[in-house]
Amino acid sequence: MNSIRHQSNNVHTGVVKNAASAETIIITIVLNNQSQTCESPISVGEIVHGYASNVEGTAVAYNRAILSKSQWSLTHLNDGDSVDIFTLVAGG
Amino acid sequence: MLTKQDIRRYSRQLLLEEIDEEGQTNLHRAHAVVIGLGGLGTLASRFLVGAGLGNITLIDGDVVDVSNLQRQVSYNETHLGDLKTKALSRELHKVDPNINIKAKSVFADKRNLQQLIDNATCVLDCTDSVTIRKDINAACVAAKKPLFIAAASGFSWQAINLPCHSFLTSAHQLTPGSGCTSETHDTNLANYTSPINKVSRNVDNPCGCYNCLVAQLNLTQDCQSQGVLGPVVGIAACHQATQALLFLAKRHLAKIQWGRYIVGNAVNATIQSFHLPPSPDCKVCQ
Ligand SMILES: [Zn+2]
Repeated sequence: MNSIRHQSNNVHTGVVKNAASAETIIITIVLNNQSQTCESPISVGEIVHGYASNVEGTAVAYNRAILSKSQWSLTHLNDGDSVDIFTLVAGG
Repeated sequence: MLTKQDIRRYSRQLLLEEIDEEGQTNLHRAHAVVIGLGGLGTLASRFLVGAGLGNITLIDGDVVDVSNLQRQVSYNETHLGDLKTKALSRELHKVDPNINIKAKSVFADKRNLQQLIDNATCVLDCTDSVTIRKDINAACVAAKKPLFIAAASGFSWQAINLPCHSFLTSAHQLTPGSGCTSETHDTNLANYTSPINKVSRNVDNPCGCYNCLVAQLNLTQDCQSQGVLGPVVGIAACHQATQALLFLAKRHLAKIQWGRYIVGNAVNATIQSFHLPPSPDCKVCQ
């Protein structure tokens, strides 16, 4: 979890003063069933790359629907969104 | 019409409204094609045959190896070196000698799949690689056959039920004789003509296909490279057999969850399910 970019320890959603920029928007998402705060804007792709070192075979559900890989970087998270990252299996 | 013997044999499931006498009769007339006779295929076909499925085609070109016995429950030491199709057919005939079992001792591939699934009411993908799974998916989409997929690796098991795809985009273009519209072994079954229930007819919320799921992913995990615990494959196979039986017994009533990708974790005992939307750039279903 620590490797997620823009990660913040802020518990609550809101606006935080930041030295570099005027203000930063912090959102809370649910990542694999765990509450997580991060700086907005952030894409699903950024979350995935921060979570899994090897994304081959990694599938992502965004708000309970599978998101095709071509949409990962185009989908930006809003407060309250859920992201589930899992590895596809094919054995039998 | 069920015989006295049938009623005794299937008494436990006849009590279920999802099966009952009508469903039992439908099961007897249905035909499932099971591709891959490993951990998934052996167990799923055992349950289908036990439940009174009338016709089953078993497809695998492999022979039984001692490393299979850990999870492929229909085989034992007496089968080592035998073709899996032969070994499994023998064991399934012991369960019910009246079941019509066809054995095809070949590996399914792009060239033979269309013919292999031609007479199927539904197909069970019990194989173990993404390549062949993609081929099976493409063949089922082209032939409009409902497809029940299961997979397992490590402690994870996953599954999805895929309806005949044309149904979701063009409900009026179903071909007579396809797995979606008529019964392979009895085309006159009046109450057996509307297989996909209203839930799956949800055109507002259509589902994708297996290719939509894996097209852009590079999957390498299988039982050989990742390892797997026998009962974890068993969970996947039991889920797959349950879904196929619900469909085959009462296709117009069963509350089948079409197009939902199930992700089970056998360690935490958790199950999640996600909607699989069609991928706009899918070359198979779009
Ligand atoms: Zn597709």
